[in-house]
Amino acid sequence: MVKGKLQTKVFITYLIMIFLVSGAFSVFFYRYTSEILIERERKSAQDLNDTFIASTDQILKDMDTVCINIGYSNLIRDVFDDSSGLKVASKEFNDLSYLLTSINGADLKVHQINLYSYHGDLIQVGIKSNLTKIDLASYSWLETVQNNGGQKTITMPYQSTAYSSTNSAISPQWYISLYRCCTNQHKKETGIIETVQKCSIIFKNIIKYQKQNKNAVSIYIYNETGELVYPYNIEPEEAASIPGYYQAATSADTGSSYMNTVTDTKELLVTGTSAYNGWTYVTAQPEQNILVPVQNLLKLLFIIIVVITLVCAAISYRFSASLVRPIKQLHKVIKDTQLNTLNTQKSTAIQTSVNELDELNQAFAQMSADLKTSMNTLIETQKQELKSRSLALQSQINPHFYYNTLSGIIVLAENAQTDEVIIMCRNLTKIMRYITKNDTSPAALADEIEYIQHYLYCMKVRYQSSLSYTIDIDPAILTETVPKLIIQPLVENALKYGLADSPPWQITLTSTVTGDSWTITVTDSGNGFSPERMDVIAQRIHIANTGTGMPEMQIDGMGLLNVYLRWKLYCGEQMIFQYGNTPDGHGQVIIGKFIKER
Amino acid sequence: MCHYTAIVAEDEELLLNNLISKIENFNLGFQVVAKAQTGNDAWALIKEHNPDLVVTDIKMPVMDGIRLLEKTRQHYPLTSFIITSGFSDFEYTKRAIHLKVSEYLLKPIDPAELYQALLNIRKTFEIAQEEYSKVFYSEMSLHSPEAIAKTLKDYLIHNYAIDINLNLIAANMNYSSSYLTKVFQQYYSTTPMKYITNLRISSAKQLLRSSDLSIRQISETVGYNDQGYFSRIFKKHTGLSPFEFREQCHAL
Repeated sequence: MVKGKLQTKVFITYLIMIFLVSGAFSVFFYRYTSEILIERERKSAQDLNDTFIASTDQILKDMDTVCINIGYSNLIRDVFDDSSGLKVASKEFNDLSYLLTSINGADLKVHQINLYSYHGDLIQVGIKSNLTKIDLASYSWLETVQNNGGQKTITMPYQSTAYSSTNSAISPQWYISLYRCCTNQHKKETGIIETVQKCSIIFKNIIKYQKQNKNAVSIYIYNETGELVYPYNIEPEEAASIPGYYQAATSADTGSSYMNTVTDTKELLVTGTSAYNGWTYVTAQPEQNILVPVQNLLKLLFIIIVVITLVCAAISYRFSASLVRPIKQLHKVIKDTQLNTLNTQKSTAIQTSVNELDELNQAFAQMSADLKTSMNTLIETQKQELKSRSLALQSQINPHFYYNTLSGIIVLAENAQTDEVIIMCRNLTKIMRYITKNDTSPAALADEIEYIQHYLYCMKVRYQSSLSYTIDIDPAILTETVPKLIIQPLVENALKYGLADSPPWQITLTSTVTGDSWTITVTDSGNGFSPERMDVIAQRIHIANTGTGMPEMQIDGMGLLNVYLRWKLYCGEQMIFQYGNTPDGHGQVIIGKFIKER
Repeated sequence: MCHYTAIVAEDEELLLNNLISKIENFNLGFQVVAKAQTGNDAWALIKEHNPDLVVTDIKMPVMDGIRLLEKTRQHYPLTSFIITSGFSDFEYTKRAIHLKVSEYLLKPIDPAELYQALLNIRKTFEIAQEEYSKVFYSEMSLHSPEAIAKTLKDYLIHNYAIDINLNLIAANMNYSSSYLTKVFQQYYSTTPMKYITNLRISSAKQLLRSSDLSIRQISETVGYNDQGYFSRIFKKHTGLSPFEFREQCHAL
């Protein structure tokens, strides 16, 4: 998948879709329409072809009819039997002329009638009326006609000035002649009748059609031997350039398109063969011409598609932009999002008309808020942990403790109490090791208690008989884990307040284990919590529980709050934490935990 | 060898006992007559023994060393003080100096420093005793109690404006200050301290009435270095502040 801008992708996708749809439609339309058109064209070409065949045949038939009619005339038979007495401008000649003219009819079915008698006479009636002696054997067509017997012989078009009126006979005209042998009563050939007609009349329908139609089809007519009959008045080179339509017409099945090898274009070829004279009519037209309207339509369609595409592009651009804009805004918001700016952005800043994006935006805002909350909680926890540790550290690395303990050690040394000095130094070492061990993981309660023992021992050595302490913890709970330095501040607190009174002083650590909980009680021998102090502590615990901020820990006596918060973080709902006074009025703090029910 | 009485106050028993044994082992003539672990215990003992010297820790339960010092100064202005402290805190030092503490020792206490401090205090005692010895000397114990009381009264009349350390006067005669007070009371129905106070107040009244001296000047002239303390004592005796007293006199 190529990466790119969403907007571009959406846009391009739409464009491709538009192209595909319109392209498919165009192809389908083109093929469907062109098929119909070609079929229609083929039909019309076929009709046209048939028309040409019919009309040409009609004219040739007329020529033939004239021929036949002449042949059946007795007068003509007589003339052919013996034309020696015939003289031009004689009565017989005039009768013959009259007869022939009447056979030709008022509509002049043929241009010229020539009668060739085997005696060597040529009788001409029509445009040219004459009677000449000829040498029949010198005519090239004689053999062909005689071979055909009584059948008609149609010549190829030929050029001649013979039948032109003398005035206008400047350029030769194209003619086709129809020959027929004439027989007498004894079925003996006596002569040949020739009817001549102008090509322009024979092919008048075709010529007329071709003149009238600009994009007229090309029409070719071949005789049975494949010689080109029409068009007739063309140069040999031109004739040579005509492709082999005849072969195509006779070999290939009609209806298939023909590849014009000369022009290299596909052509629609329609052929038809006259049943009358065996001529093959070929109409050829480039398919290109047929498809011109389709192509014109396609051009129009293309323009429409372009316009539609442009419109669609504009719409899709707008749509993709409207889709992308909120995403971009969201992206910007996400990019700008930092821990300290979490949830400060206005979620309403993004305006979108898309529901999903709206939901996404809201979800992001929600996530941002949740993240903020959880971050705050995390930061709060860390801060608290850090603070509590630093506070614990502070109270323990409180120079006075070491200072005083060292003073005590000096005194012991002065007193030469060597053993005591050793014990004190060892205790101090253990205390320092426990405190400075940079380990955030919880400690075993046993370790914490041992540490307190060392601590209290140091105090005891300093205060001697004035201070006594008791530690009585149930061994069953020594394996419990607690945050490091969680009980020590309570002991320190007890010392701080317990020693405010006159000696002797007493510190007691006891434990209570019930079925579902364990507690450790730290009791001093002082005057207990004053009501004001109780109030202050309760107030600060309340602030710490409800507010997000940590109350200031440095305030006197807030070691208790520190322990409370850390213990609550550690135990959650299982926490036990009580502070107050014993019935004797001494201060007492109880810390403990409900054991999770199994 | 004369004996100066001392009281030691220190909440840490180990240090307390160690300090006491050091003071006594130096053999500088200081005798620890009592020890205390809290400020108010110490105060009770001071009242009871009226010692020449109080060695006190600053940080103590119930009443701290500074408060003890303040209280003692009001009633026993001539008692010498050695303050011991784990704090090298300027605020404490300032207050201690203001309250005319003799020596300020940092814990853990260097024995040599302590020795020097005690030596210095003994010297001031000896100088004062030297002064008193012209009037009060050991052979005076042969005199009648009445003569002794009269000698003391005369001395007070002439010297009320300076600090008078009855402990040292008594020591010169090998008496205890309490005996001296008892004898004085026997003949004059008042303690020497109260006698001095009366003399000072009378003199102050005279000066307020007849001079243009400022109250501070008057306070110092009659023997009170602390004007505030003078004013309190004055009001206690006359019912008026020195200023009001002077206003009243001018009005008449």
